Amino acid sequence: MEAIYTELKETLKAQDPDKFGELTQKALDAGAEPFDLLNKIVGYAKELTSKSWWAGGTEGVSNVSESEALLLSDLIVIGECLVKSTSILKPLLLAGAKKAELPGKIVLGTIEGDVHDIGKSLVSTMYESAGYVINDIGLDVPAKNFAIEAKRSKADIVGISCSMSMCKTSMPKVVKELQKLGIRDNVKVVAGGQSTFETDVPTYGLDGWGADMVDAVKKTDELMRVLKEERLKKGVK
Amino acid sequence: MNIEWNSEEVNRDYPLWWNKGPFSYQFTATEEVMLEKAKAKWLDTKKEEQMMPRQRWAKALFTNEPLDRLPSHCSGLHQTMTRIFDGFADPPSILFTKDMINHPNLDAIGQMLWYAKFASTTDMNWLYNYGFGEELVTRKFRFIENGPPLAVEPFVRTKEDALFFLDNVPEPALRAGTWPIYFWEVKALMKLVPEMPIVASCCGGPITMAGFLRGIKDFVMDIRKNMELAELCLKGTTALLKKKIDKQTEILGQQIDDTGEGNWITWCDSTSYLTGEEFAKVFDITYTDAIKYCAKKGWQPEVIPEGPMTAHVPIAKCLSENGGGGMLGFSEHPNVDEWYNNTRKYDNIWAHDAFDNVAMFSPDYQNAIRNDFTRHAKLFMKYPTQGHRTYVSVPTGDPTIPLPAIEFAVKTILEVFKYPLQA
Repeated sequence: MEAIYTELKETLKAQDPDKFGELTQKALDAGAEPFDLLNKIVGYAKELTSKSWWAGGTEGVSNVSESEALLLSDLIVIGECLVKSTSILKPLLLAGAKKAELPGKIVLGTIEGDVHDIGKSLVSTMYESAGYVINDIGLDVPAKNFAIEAKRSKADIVGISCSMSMCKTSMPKVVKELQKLGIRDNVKVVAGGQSTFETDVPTYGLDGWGADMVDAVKKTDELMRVLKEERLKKGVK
Repeated sequence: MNIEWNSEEVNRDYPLWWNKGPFSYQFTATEEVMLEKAKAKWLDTKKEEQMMPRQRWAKALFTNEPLDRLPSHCSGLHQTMTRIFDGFADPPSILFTKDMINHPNLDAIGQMLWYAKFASTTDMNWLYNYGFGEELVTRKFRFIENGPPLAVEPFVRTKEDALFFLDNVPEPALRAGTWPIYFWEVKALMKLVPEMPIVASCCGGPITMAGFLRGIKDFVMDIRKNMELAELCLKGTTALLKKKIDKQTEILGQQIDDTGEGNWITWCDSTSYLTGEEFAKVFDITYTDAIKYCAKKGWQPEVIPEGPMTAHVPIAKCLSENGGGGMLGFSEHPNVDEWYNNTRKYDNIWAHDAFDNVAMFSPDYQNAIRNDFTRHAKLFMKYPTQGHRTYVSVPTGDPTIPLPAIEFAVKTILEVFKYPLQA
């Protein structure tokens, strides 16, 4: 199995999406657990992309040399590798999803003005494999649509993906739209993505923030727990 | 296939606030007062300096004589321009990019306030054409409230689409959209501040536009697996760039010269999404052609690429050989020393050092920016007269740079690049 993992890592580095998909299947055939395999693959991707062009230190210079730095083009193809892999893993993850202790419905989308997809899709897969019911409303979603979908589907959580700083100003609009529809008290709002920080939670009136896809699920579990307690106190189901 | 190439037709569902003209904006009496006050304040800051901007630019670019400080441009670009009106609030809460597009006179006032506040020595005015031509090269785009246009649907899906584009390269949109407003504002500022040269940037270059024409992801994959389609897209966008260059030349006229008179035109291209190897594949298809075309038009092209050194070096060489003295933009390169040493050997290159992402994205951005600027300043002192004639800038338009870092950089650039450092 170790040999396959090594080959996966090398193939990701070589940026070959088709071969990466084949190796994902090979690892599964050799007995890899889908959840562990996804975690490994994401770990490799994180390690690799830490050498991105924009990885600056406090000295104002990159930690990586030009020859080893990854450009956007590299990141795009690495993203394609992940897409190939998750398309194979997702059905297995869902089939084996444990029944969540805190089952919840999540409306998940990328905020208006932003068309980044990879992070949201990965988080979506993680949520689903953790037992959540996902209503993925796509990319470039207006604030109003988050609220409308949350009300329509009686969601517990609204998940906002945001990777561009200028689009962050739309995050508090989601909160306002939830207020307008009178469902703010019954929904928790969690955000994540390249341009978001933990400090955005109080600034934008959110309830939680996920540093990465694993943290997003962890924070969402906590928020679900809080939400259930609040509902219990209010006598609401 | 029957597509009429103008922004209104291509983008039938453009938002209601889309500016349809006519573009005959006049300043009101109150606005005139604001412009006058801002100009007076700007002139006051100039009195404290050794020389006026045009003189400083001429000396910096043509004579290498000592200066009290380097010329710099730290103009407010699209979304940052709005912040001058609300004290750089983050998040912005009062004015948004769409307000500036609806009211270009408001933006002109903002630019003037910016000059006064930051003692500008030029204006890099590309607010409205910073959209990289989405209105021309996509099937559908839209503006977001607080940022540039967003390409929603690429035009080229097949080889036939690319061939169609190549045979029907659109004229720059002059009836509607951002370009007419942009031209209006460039002219307005040239009239308001004749003491200062205006830089008008022709965005985007062939690579950026090809990314939108095809969709960045597919374009990148094409370069790796379907070079024929990538090449067709690049030929189409190079032809479009030439048309944009023609229009800019027609409007701006005289290229800046050693007397300090005139203005200049640049074209900037986001090459940073290509690796060095990928850029090498597309360089001859686009850049050589575009640079030679600029030179033939009688102006010295400033090319502002973003990306790896493997892209910068051939551009520097090509500018040096064909442009008769062009400018090489530097942006986003994480290693200043490497960049400087690799490009300075070419003659007649004006190094435009634009500080960008690496330092500004650092969690400790204040230290990072100060260190970055200081390192640049020391390099300029080390090689004051060899090859490079230099000016510095903070590109304030990157939509992903945290806003406080932009404000800090704009203030710091003035402080660091004063010439007591020369000693």
